[in-house]
Amino acid sequence: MLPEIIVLITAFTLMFVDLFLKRETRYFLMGIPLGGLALAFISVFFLSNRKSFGGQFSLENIDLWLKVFFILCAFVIAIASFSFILGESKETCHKKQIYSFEFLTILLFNLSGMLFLVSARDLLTLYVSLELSTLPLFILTAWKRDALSSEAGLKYVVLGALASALLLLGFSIFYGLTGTMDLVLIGRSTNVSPLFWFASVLVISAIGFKLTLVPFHMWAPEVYQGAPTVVTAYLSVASKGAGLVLMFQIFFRIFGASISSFYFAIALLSALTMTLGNVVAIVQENIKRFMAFSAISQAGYLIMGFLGGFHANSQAVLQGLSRTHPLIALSMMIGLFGLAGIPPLSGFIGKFFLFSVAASSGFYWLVAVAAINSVISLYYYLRIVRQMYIEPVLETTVFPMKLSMGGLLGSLVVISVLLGLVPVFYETILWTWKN
Amino acid sequence: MTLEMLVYAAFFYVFAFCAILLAICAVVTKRILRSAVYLMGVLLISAAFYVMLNAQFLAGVQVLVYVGGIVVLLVYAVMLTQTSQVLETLPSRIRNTLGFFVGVGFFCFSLWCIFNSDLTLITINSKNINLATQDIRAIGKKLLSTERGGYAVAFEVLSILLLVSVLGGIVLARKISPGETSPKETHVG
Amino acid sequence: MLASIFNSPYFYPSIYHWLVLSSALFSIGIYGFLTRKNAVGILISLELCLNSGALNFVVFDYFRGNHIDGKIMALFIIAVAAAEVVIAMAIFVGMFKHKKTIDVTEMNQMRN
Repeated sequence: MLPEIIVLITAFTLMFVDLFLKRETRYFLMGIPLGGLALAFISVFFLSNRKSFGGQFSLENIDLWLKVFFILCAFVIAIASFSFILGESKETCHKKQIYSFEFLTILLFNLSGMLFLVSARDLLTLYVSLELSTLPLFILTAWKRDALSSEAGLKYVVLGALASALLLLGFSIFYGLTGTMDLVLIGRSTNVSPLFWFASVLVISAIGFKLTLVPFHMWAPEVYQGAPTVVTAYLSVASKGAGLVLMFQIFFRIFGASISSFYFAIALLSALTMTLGNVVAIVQENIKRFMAFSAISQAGYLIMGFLGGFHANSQAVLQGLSRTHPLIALSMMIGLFGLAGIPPLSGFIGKFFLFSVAASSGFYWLVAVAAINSVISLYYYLRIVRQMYIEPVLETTVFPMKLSMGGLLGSLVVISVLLGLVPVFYETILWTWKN
Repeated sequence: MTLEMLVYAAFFYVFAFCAILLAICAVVTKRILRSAVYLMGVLLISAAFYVMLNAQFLAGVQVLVYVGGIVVLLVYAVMLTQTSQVLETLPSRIRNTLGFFVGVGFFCFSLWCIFNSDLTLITINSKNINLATQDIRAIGKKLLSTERGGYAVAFEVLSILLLVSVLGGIVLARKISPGETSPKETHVG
Repeated sequence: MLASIFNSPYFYPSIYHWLVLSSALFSIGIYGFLTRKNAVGILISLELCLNSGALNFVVFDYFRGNHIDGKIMALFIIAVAAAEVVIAMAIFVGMFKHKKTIDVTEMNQMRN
């Protein structure tokens, strides 16, 4: 419980200190969320496997790494959002939005929701944590309060509420068929009936919405385009991560033994998502929409990891997540700058593991589809790189680079290249997980 | 079939019929304000259902929060976003028929799933259910319990969620006074 | 003859009756979601869906021997619905200030 408590205390401190300071002294408020997140990050390593609150909240090894991932995401996004909050980027439009540190408060609360989502073990906690992981994003999407941002927020809210309603109906049927709210007990005591499949379809629809899988990806391009760039980056990384955690919780605890019957559905969704995301991305003109479709196709790769057994899945999902997503976020944050070429480099290892998981379960056709899609994505990433280096530079595209952004980008580049070359990181994760 | 059961069944059918009728009116009517009022009707009948299902506290909360809070908020929203034309135009025929078929299809599919499932573990005939009333004390104990099967963590998460929604509502909807300027007059563009 | 209707096993509301009712309400909500143009109208249809989900929880609760978990879940659903409506309203009002309409068919600023 320690990282959650630290994150919450940080959020409340930020909220209250923000109230009582004058406008001019707000620069030092930046330190509060960063310090709190760093503290939370450190505190995760002091946790051990345990169940507290009689099983409402429990931690296993994989959960610790997921929490580390979420805290890192929030840390990166917090740094990147300073120029947005302080009015130095092109995006803040209303004067009152400048110095509004509520952005970070809401972001921290969202992070706490994701941390609780990782540890939830019964339907109720899962649902409420999922809502806490989603609702603040509605607010953050509409943060700029101009027509584009509000439209994105509106579409996100409406479709998000529908997904929530579908999820709820599915959960009610799960509860009704088994009489218990505990996720693991549901997994053990379901007898499959048509009503169970109906509920599964509903729940998978809701997961598909959160992960932007293909029949449910409609909201993603519009929302990614209309939201502030920092929020888009956060959405594409952390929101997808939360969707994966939700899928993990549902598939491995509720569906438990009968998961193999869902393999074909997962494979189909994965193939559709990858293909459509990549193909539509090629024709996009707007960079944010393009990144949205790229992110959609990445989600397709990630759920391939669910085709293996429990052990293989956790490793593959975690690697795929940490590799491909921070780089997409990075690319989105800097617009036309040239790091979009990196995903094939260190994202390669993540994809390699994901492909091997799918292949080990016999889904060779899916691996072929994924390979073709990787080539397609390489094509459009290279197109962007070409755009930046070869085409003549126009004066209006020169970005003033702030110190925080520069330092952040530099360190992320170094880390991503290092982690791409050194697979020992993953070995340690796997080793600690197996023990 | 005692008189009590007869009355219970009669109430069920009357309320069910009214609820479905009001729901259909809520989604079909051209005036948004009437739609909100029909929704209020559905929610009140839903509270009656909760009483029939031995969830009296929940019925009270439903009336207080759902009807007294959410519907009022919806009416505010309708008032604040009213355009000059009060009547909503009918949706295009394609959309109407598509929506109708999706709705009916969903309903038929769910019916098929319900009637083909083995629900015998659940007492179908509720004549012999132990209807000991569970008062507010039992709900309160479970809500704040930190034992197994308690929901203290969910309760705290929910309170944070409500705080975030209040915060977001204020930030997104506050007025920007025209005279306010920031200390930085020109920002880097 | 009336007595034969009343004494038949299909008359007294069993779980099947309740489930049919809640799925009917949910389907009506889905129809409203797909058909409505006004954003507040869409939200009203979604409230119908959420309410039927909560009703489902309480129904299963009752027929499983009078448990209490479903009622607590329904309580939480009501609270979460309230939070969602607050945020949605703030966004709708903001949208209305810019475009003077919240007709969802007129929101295509991002089509390229």
